[in-house]
Amino acid sequence: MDLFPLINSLRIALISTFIIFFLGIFAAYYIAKAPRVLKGVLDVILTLPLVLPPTVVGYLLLRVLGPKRVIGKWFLTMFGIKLTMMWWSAIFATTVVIFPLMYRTARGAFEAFDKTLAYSAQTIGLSNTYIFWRIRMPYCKQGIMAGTVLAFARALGEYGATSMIAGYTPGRTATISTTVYQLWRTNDDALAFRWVLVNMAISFVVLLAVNMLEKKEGKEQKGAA
Amino acid sequence: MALKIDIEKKFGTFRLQIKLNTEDEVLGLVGNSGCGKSLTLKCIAGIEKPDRGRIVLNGITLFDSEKHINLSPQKRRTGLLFQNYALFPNMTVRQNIRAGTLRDQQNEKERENKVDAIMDSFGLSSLASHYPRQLSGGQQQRTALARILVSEPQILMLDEPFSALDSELKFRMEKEVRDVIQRFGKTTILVSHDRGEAYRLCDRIAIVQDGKADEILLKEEWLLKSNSVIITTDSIPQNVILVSKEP
Repeated sequence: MDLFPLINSLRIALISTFIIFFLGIFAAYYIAKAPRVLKGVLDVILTLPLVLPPTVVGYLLLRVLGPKRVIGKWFLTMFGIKLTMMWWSAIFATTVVIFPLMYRTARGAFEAFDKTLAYSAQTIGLSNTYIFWRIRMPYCKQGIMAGTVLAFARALGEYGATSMIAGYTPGRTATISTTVYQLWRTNDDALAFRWVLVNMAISFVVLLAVNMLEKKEGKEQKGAA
Repeated sequence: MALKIDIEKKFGTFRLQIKLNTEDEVLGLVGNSGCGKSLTLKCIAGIEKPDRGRIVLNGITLFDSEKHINLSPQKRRTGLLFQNYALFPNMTVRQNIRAGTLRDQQNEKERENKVDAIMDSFGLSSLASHYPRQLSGGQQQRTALARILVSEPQILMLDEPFSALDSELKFRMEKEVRDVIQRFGKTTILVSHDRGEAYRLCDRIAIVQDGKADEILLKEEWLLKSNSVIITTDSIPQNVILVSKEP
């Protein structure tokens, strides 16, 4: 069994989760502070990829990143890098699709943050950067970790947008999900089933991790009260 | 060592218009909830920004809307004790207090000594490695006060400091807080809705009503005006209880 799809899926999921970890947290942090109307509008826009069909996301991405489209063309002429149909193309797809998961869980965690902690920290002279990393983030740790793991799991299972923007090239752009589809289409049922098992095992472990994080959070909150 | 405030702030239909001068004393802000007492403290600390006016602490302008001065809370050197004490739950007692020393550059040894000394004076040394959730209400309050004092504020502000404590502990902590205020020795503002508490701890009292504090009275004058009498079992001042006269 060629393990390329597993490695490719993992690297795509890891890279997009890493990007989304910071992007989601900072979006959540700054949008929580924004005026109400702006907050409402941005919230809808940023959550949209969660409810759109992945094929729509894929279509929109191709519209901007395709070799003849604005951004895709610019990258191709400037750096000679093709943004579509390469293994890294899938990162664009997964990043857009998992962004709302991270953004929403981080925002939920930040909204539960006790503001007086930040205020008292400011009055005793702690910098806002210190407060963010040493007080706010540890306070919201569980929620943010759960969001990260969930985003990773979703990235690992992304199919629709990925297949549109990265296609399926064995040994180059194949991921677990696109491989399963391809094997089933070509009647290689036994191998398809093995990949299904691999996928299910990973998802199982990830969801178990999310559950354990949530349980731990509940316990700690009870201890604090 | 003086604080001069003259600020205005609108919050929907609520309007805060506070004018106060205080110098080396314990000033009580007394009034019902929602009258603007806590908001005043937050404006002094720089957490809330007034619409207009100025705040001057010991000759340093903290806020001046005309000159566009608005110092960050970090630079104001005001000590504010929150009702819930606001201890950082992910830090131990020692780490919480040490966080109060990070504003100023100083060598590490000096910093640690300072933390040790203040923990000792607050009777917290044996609790150094405890987390806030493992502490009693009184211990939490002591930790919060130690953290504020070690940050060397120019003014101490206490927002309903005993509201989170049960009545027996309230009494003991009131005595401790009185000692802390005395040791601090600079301008202190106490926000309270409990008239007896204000009488026992403060030198002068300002009644805050609908966002305004019209006059500051010596507590004895205030007592006469507020139509209350002192009930006391003996002459120890902390046993003073104020009771409204029957109309």
